[in-house]
Amino acid sequence: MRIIDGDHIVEAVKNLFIKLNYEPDSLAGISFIESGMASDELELATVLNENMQKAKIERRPLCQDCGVAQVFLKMGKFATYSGASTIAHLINEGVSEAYSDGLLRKSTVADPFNRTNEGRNLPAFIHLEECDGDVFELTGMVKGGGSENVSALKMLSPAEGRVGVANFVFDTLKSAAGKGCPPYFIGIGVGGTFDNVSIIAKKALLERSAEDAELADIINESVKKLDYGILGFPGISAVKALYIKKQPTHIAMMPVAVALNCHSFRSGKFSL
Amino acid sequence: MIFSGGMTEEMLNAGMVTRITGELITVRDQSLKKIVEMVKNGEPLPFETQNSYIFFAAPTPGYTENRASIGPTTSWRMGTFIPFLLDLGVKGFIGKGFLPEGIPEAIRRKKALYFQALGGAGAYYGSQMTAMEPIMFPELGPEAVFRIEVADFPLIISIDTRGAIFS
Repeated sequence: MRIIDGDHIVEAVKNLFIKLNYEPDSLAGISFIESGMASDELELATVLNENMQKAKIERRPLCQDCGVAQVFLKMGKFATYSGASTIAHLINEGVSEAYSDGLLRKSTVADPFNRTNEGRNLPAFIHLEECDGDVFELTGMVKGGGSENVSALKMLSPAEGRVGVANFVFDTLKSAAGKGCPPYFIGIGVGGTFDNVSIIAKKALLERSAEDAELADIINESVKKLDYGILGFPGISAVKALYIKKQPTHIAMMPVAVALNCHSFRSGKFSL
Repeated sequence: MIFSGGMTEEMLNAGMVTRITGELITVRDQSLKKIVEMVKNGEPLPFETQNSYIFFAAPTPGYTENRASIGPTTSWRMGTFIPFLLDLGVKGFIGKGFLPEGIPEAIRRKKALYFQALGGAGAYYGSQMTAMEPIMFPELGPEAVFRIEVADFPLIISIDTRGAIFS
């Protein structure tokens, strides 16, 4: 059994969530400029490119909405940790330190109705997956409210097939328009159950999954019909990337989840 | 307010991209509610509302280190406050997305302006701020009212002074 020092986990989580808000691995090498853009859209794309540069160089958060903190943890059956009774304690400690020391906006409220902001951006929303060996691999994601609010889930009939899924993705994008800050990075989950399908949609984004080329082709063709570009204004760049993940499901079901992520796609990981 | 290319407010056309230089006041859901209360009670506001520009925004906390990010929040939620602000003489509103029914008409009647800022370009806009100070409700954290000075702030004109609309 390998025992990982709890303080190391807290420190690594803190460093990861600060990095995600300034220069995340998920945006490395990304440019929002595309050939065929008219001058106004080109100017907006240039601002988004400069936004990434200024975040890195001037140490300003990429977006003023520093999001909720999400964690996907893979832990081997021969790995454990010291310093706390549950892993959530360590992760929350690291996230809280990141949002305070990293000069990040705390956007999580304690209750959906009374909306009290306790100022720590907690809890982190954690998904734990057990695996073989003694690995400890933690993927973090910072998710803003704008694009989370326009994400969607639907239980389709199996007979609707790939065309039904593509139509739902198109409808979701059409009603999202500029509200979730496009160009969008899209994670699509198909299969599993009502609860599971939204998790695999997020995992599709994080793992850059490409599990169904035929579905991707249909969606890529249909999104050309969208009538907006960067940030919902007239243009050609509504979608930046498309990722698809599938799971086994029930004979009567075909759950679909569309996780839309804004242009500020903030994810990354570390292993200890 | 200074507009790029030497334009005046009357020369701006809906659909254009412009860059502004001047003073903005940030407000949001909580601070607007409190401002309405103060005005109703006859209390003075610590900023000149006549011809002012209002930015629907809540910045990150790093302004004392000159490391803040700032960007627009969804204007829809603030829509019902706009007629009240127009009556105080506000000339321009900056936010994200479109406005509730009836509000564009209210803006047109006063020959005021509505601009959309680029959602999520927080670091870029933060970098174009030359000054920032909280002037009301510091206890609200990011929702405090800030007076900010901006230079070459890129915006899309969404409602111009003739009432033409671009969304």
